[in-house]
Amino acid sequence: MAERKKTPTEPTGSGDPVDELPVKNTADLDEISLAQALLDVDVANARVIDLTKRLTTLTKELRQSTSELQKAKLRNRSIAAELEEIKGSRAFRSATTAQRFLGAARSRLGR
Amino acid sequence: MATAMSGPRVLLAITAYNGEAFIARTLDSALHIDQGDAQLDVLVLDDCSPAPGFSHRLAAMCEQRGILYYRSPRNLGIPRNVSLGMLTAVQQGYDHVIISNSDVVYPRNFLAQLLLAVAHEGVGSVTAWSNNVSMYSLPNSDPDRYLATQERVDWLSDTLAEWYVDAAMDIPAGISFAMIVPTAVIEEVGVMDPVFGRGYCEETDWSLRSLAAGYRVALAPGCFVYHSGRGSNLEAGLVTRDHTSVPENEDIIDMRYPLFRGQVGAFAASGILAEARLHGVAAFMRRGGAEFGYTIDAGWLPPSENAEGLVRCTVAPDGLDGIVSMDFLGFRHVIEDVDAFALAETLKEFFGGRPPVAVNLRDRGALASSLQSEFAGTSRRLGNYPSRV
Repeated sequence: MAERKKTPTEPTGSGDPVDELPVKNTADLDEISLAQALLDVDVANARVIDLTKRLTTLTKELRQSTSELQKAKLRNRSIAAELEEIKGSRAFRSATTAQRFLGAARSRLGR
Repeated sequence: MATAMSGPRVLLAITAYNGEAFIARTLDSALHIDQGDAQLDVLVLDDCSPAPGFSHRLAAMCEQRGILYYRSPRNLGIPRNVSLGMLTAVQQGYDHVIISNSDVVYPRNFLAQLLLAVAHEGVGSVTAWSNNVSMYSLPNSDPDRYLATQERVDWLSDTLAEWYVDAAMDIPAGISFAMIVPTAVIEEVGVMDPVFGRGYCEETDWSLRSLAAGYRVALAPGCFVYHSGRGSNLEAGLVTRDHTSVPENEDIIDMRYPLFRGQVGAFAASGILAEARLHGVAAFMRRGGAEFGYTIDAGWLPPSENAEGLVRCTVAPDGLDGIVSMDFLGFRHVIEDVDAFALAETLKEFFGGRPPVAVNLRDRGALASSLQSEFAGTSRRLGNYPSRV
């Protein structure tokens, strides 16, 4: 049988005078509970350290990815501007018109 | 305490957080458990219940009943409170620990049935069957009305024990509302993970860790525990009536065990559980009808009044669909492909040779007429219309 305890626990602290009286435990589990609480703290600390490491690594990766994305966006913007410039040039418009005439002539000649 | 008993030492650790409405019933029920040659100690772990005066009253209730009581100086949350029970059992030399909620009614054969199931090769934990045990529940229309008494729970559990004997059904994860675990398994698998905070899903995580360590996770279909359900968690505001779990904790399970939901789906689709329910409820019907009697109701609508305590067998008055619906204590069992004109014989055989207590003819039809002539003395014609149309 679990070991019986004579010492009472802390009051419940609800403000009611009855609750100010300590509750009488009949099993002494303070030691087991405390030992486990300390282990839980160790585990929690280890998890915090591990998660912090992962967080910093992932933050670095995120920053790098964000920077690469920004660079790619800039490059894309300059390429898009270049494309617009080409499309607006006289040579491009002449070539487009010539291609249109050529297409029309081919369809009339049946070739 | 020195003992001359040769059986296993078992600690029943009941985790409590408020719950004035049901805790006394649970404690009385715990004392009613048949110990056989085992030694059962009951320990209430009060997780610093905040309800004014509750802990004092609970301590007094435990003292009156000779039950061990421990109130944590601070609220631990369900996982750590359960772990305290597990560790107590390990450190104080128990062979098994039973983790239990405080809103249950245990059957007399509770310990014997769980010990039989946990004795199977490789079993690392056994959950009792119940009206409220997550996806494994035995569906009941009104458990609080029909099942929440000691006598009823004993009867149901004895009936299941007679049918399933020592069976241990493998399930994807255990439920710690009433779960036995050998202390040797705890030493290997560990206790509940406090990452689950105030609770929910911690036993799923524990079960999956125990599976990974090579243990089986089982349910004892031969042991029925009434479980009111979510009593303490509603009190704590951990869940609401509309939400039965904690999504953040489910996310942890999904992250740690990405295959788990698929395994649960595969188990549900396997039909094992449906078959177990079918046989279990059929056993209730068979024994209920044989012991207390049954009625045959021929009518298109379900009877408006309810003869509680008798198994009610409802059939269509023309007998064409070959279906008999049985209702008893909120459970329902359906038999198909019954030859309607051999119905009385079929039911008599099903109920161990007992004839019906009454035959109620509510609507006209070929089967109703046949039953009227067959049970001229016990049949009666009744209107089955609602009192207000």
